[in-house]
Amino acid sequence: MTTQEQIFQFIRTKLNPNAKFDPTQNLMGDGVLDSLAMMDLIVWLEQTFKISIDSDDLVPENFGTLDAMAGYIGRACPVA
Amino acid sequence: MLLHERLHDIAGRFPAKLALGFGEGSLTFAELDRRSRALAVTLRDLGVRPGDRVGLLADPCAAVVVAFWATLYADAIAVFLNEQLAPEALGDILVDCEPAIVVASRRYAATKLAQLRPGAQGGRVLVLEDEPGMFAGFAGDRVNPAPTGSEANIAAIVYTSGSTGRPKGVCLSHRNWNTTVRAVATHMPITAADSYLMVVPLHYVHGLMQLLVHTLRGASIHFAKDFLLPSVVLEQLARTRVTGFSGVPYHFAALIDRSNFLRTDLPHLRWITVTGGRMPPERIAQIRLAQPALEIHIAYGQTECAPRATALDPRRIDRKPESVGSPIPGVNVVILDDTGREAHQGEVGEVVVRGDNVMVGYWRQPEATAGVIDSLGRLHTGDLGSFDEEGDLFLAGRRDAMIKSAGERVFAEEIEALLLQCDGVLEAVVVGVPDDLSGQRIEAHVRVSQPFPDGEPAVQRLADRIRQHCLSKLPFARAPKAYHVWADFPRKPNGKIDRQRMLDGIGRLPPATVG
Repeated sequence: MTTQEQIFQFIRTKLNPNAKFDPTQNLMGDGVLDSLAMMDLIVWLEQTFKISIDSDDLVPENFGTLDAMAGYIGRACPVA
Repeated sequence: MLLHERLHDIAGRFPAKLALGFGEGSLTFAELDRRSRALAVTLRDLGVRPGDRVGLLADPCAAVVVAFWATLYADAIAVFLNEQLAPEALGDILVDCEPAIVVASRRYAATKLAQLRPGAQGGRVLVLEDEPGMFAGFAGDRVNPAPTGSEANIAAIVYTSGSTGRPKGVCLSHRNWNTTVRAVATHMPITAADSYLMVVPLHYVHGLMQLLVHTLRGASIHFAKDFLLPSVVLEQLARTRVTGFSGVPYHFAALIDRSNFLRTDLPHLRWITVTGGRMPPERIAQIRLAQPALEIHIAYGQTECAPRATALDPRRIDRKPESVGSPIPGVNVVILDDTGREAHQGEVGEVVVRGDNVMVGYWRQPEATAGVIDSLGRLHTGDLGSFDEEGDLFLAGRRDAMIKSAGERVFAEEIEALLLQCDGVLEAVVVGVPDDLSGQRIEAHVRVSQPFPDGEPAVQRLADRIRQHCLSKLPFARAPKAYHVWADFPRKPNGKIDRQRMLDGIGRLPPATVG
């Protein structure tokens, strides 16, 4: 399973059952996640990939899409 | 004075001043007023009569704020609709308030209104993007006739959840709002020199209150797109150089934990207001230490009192971080004991509010209204609390099973009824567990039919199925965050559920499992 698919599975089962898999979809503007759900996702990413996300990194360029999140995780955690 | 008369007055005093700022555009007070009056003429042409409801379903944008004011100019009633609601819940609200027109963005018209059950929305839908001229105020030279309404007329209906699951429309009149706007603008104080960053949605009563308070004082409002990433909000606080900002405790927890809020110099920011739940004193202390010049206002109230009842003087916050303060000007708050007598100082009882801020009633629900407003016109809030010797209020829980999570009020019964719709769920108990981030975290306990799923993965799959049922019916913020699956609940000798043992048993007593 790719990192994108792994994150999507968490979003679909725990946060939004109506989410559709689209690695380039803007998760921010398209109403897929609300702010509480986003915080749950951040905590899950930290636990699952054993990373610590710095406040400075918490920007749309790193978390706006599934592809962006996978890219960020790849950089933060080379084994993922 | 009616609210829109006051807008017109302010537009005359500050015509060229920025009223509303959005990421991609802005409106001056004169333009906001002109467009609103022009759209009101169009609304009347389209058949909106005084007292009709106009639904508003869009992310914050100039057009939807214009539509709000136009509704008031047409002597009609504005109903901001929550775009996070599932079509079924949205349908319940539309059936309840029967709007003559729903103004919607194309996105929500396509995703929400198109999925309503047949007959749920009988009125006309105006799609913002399809009518750019209409919302930009191109109505020729015709001007809306002089206002004829009374201050007692309903200006807005704000929908809130009820313990029965049926939505309750809180009817707030021009007089209700005038009382709150006057009191808040005075004690803060808010003047035309102020500006405010709006992160809360307009269907949330606090958002509507801030819109009115700032606009009617000639202060500017900048709209943040949303609150998904706190760092984005922090960047907007710095860039727009606003003097004020407000949110629920969760917003501040996210800003503190997940952005550089405490380490960023925000010289323009004069105050923040925390509303919609308890902010832990440790959080307040963190902000006080990092931003000592920042005034922290703690406020309390509920939708039914438009929505402010008390506010804590920011000079008392270090001494009393747990207090919600004293009644705002023009509002009377008393504590009543179980016999209905006024409680002694320090004694805990129900918080009861009296003043011109108390709602007209619930829309078309006279029995529910009579359940909270007594013969003296006092609002029985259901909140418990006591006053200290300086007249500051301390809250002490609820009379009922209402949960306050991330600023949302959630009735346990409402979620329990939803859980019982799930195949295999025989009993359900919903509780609020103290949580640093959201205030109270909503958790569900369900007793499921036999045979009990075999093994952890099967229990997890069952919990996920129940979770998805809830998420398909409820916005994420209102849905349980954890699901505890039980073969049987611990019970007292009389057969009643032993809630305390059940709560203590989380993660300890098999076969309780967290999903």
